[in-house]
Amino acid sequence: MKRSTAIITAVCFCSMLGGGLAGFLLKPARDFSPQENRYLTQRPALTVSALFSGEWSRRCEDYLQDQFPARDALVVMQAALRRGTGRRDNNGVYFGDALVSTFWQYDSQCLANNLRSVERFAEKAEIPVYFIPVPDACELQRSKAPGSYPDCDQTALVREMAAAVPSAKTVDLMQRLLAADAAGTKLYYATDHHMTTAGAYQVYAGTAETMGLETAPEPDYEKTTVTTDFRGTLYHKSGAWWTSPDSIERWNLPGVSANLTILPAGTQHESIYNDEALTGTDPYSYFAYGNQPVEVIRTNAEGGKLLLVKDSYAHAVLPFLCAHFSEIHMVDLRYTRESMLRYLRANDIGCAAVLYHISNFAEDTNLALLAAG
Amino acid sequence: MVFSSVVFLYFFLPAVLLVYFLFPRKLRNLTLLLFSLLFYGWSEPKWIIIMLFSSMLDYTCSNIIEKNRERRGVMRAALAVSVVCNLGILCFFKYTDFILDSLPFLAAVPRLNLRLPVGISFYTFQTMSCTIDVYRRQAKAQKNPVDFAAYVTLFPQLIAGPIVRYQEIADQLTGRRETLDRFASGAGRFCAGLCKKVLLANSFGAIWEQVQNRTDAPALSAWLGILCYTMQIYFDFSGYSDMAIGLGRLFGFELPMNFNYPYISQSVTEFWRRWHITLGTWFREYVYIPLGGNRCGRMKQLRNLLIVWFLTGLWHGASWNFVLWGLFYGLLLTGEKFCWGRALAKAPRALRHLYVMLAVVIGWCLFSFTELPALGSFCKALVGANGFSEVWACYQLRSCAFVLAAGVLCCTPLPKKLWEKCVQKAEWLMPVLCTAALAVCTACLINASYNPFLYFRF
Repeated sequence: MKRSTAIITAVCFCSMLGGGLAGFLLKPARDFSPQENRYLTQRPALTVSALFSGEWSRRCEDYLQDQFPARDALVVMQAALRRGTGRRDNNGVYFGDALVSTFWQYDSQCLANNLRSVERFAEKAEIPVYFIPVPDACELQRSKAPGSYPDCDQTALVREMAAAVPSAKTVDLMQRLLAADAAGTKLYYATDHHMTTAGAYQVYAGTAETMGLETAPEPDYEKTTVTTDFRGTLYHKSGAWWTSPDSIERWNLPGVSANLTILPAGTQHESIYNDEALTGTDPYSYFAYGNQPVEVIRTNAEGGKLLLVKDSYAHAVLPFLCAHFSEIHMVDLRYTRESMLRYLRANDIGCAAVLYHISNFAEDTNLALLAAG
Repeated sequence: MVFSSVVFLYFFLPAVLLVYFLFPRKLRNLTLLLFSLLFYGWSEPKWIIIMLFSSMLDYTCSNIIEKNRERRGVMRAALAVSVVCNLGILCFFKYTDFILDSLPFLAAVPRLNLRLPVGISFYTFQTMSCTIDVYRRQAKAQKNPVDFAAYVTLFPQLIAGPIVRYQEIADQLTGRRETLDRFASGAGRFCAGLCKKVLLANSFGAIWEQVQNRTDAPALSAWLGILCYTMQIYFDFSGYSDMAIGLGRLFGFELPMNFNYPYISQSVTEFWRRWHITLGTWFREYVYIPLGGNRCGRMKQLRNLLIVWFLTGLWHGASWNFVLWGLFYGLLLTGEKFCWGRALAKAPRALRHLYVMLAVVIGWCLFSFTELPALGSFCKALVGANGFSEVWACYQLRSCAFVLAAGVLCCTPLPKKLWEKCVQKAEWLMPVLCTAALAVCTACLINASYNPFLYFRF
């Protein structure tokens, strides 16, 4: 090695190490990373017990990683490197024109338990119960992600699930979604696992058909784009920050209005849409104010009361349902301990629906509450 | 602390380099000692005391031996104290529960449930080697306790080797020279090791992790998994050794080579001459040869081989599968010595290679499953008990094609030869690639979902 090469190598090596250190010391700590959509670890407090248990040094390492200079650039560099070397996924998210999180392994015992809960609920409810398993994006986004990624056959799974809940009417959305996808409808966001408003319309149309409700055709809706800057969870997780942001649409049926009360807090809102969320950290919570324990939506429509036990996939479907029910009670079983059978009777509800996206339904452990009591 | 972490790369290392080179030569070993204690204490604050005890013990014993050359009894007693204490510490922390578990009539005795102090298997072997070397007059006892403790705790090789015998490093402790050339080549070696660990080993480990605990893996997935594990363990371990050697050079040390492309071996005997060389040397120097080696007839040689491979297996972890793994290699080596060695030498090159790789992969199966039933079901999966293919494996093969190809290539000396040719023609590649390697590895560490430490059993 020439002396000059040795000098340059040593200088490069040392300045990389020293540069990292200096950058860290000079840069003020960040609280929140908009790109990753999470709070970053702050400097851990030093206590004697934490020091000796090794807890302090572990937290320090998280802190240093999170607060490292140019962290955003490094994260996207890592994702780009993976992509560049032929890898097709990062942190469980599959790269492509649309980012996709896959669903291929699940706890079959948990799924069976949840199906049993739905069946018991439908048996005991004494009112019509609809079961709406919403397919995960991976079944439909294959064409948008390169190559086949491992996922389970949701078409078959929905049929199995329907067979396990004979007392409820299952809404099988698969054919409808496949047809809509083939017709060019963008059903899922490219940067988020949720369904777009157009996708939610398909869920609504399938549900309405099973319920025997008359739906308004698509052109009757007034469509407005409320944001063009939606970066969802898959975007944040994948580091694939070259993906263009999504738009969120709002479809209004003229003449339908609704207000929303969040329980148990009792907060009242004039609209079922939350405009403030569009500029916040979770724009999807524009729909129905995000995850809440119980929400009661009162509409100006004629019709009975609906109990909707759901996960967040229902939020985009809610606006469509407002045209058919005078009251919709949306319940998220993760945040409430109430028995749903008792809730039905207490509120004199005439119709119930259970809406989850399939991968969440297979993994959620809170569904036992459905049939309790 | 591990080398492949932000805290090591950007805090510990710049700090130690700065202090080391700012202070006069006399204080350099003290600097290394203090920083090494900090390095160790970062993840093992409690057990730092054991490492210091082991250091002081062997410092004392080796000096007693040195001063009492005429009195055989004293020398022997000091040697015995060192060996018994070091092995005692090692056995207490590593093997107590294993022994209790293995003896059915001790089932009622409460278990210690101790977490193994990091690096204990490495440093007890090193401190012992000092007393033994001095006893055998292969080295002079170190008079300066700081220099001696700096040797034992030397952070580059503290937690994952190479195992440096005292006689190899005694002169370097006081007489080493830090040169610019050595520093630059050390930086390069360190970066290469970091890439092996972060870019290759972690990638393969993440795939293996997804197969390891499955009971329904079809053959293709199982084979992909075990091949990934085969590469993970090599790149992880040899990457650590490269980083250790590179770090050593930054401070003027020349640490011994630990891996020499083991996967290109043409026989299992050759494999063990290329795999974890310093451990093999240690067992040869301090167990096999003292037992008589191959000089006392065939029966004794067989006994000695059995003992060495039993211990080699056991050293890797307190569980029967490691013993099995050691004995499996002992058997193959004995077989090559006395039975099929000559036939093997005449076999075509490809066949020899296939034989070695098959032995190695079977070895890693034994190595990775501590529970016999899990090993059994994995072996069944390998031969197709759960079908032959699935989407997951095909997906990984496509997605990881580049990494897999790079891994296979890097198991051979080709990339290094190529690199040497390139760098001869264009020396500027050296600093450019070092910088790029650090940047890329940092990016992977910053966003790390998977960065395991494999040596918690050693």
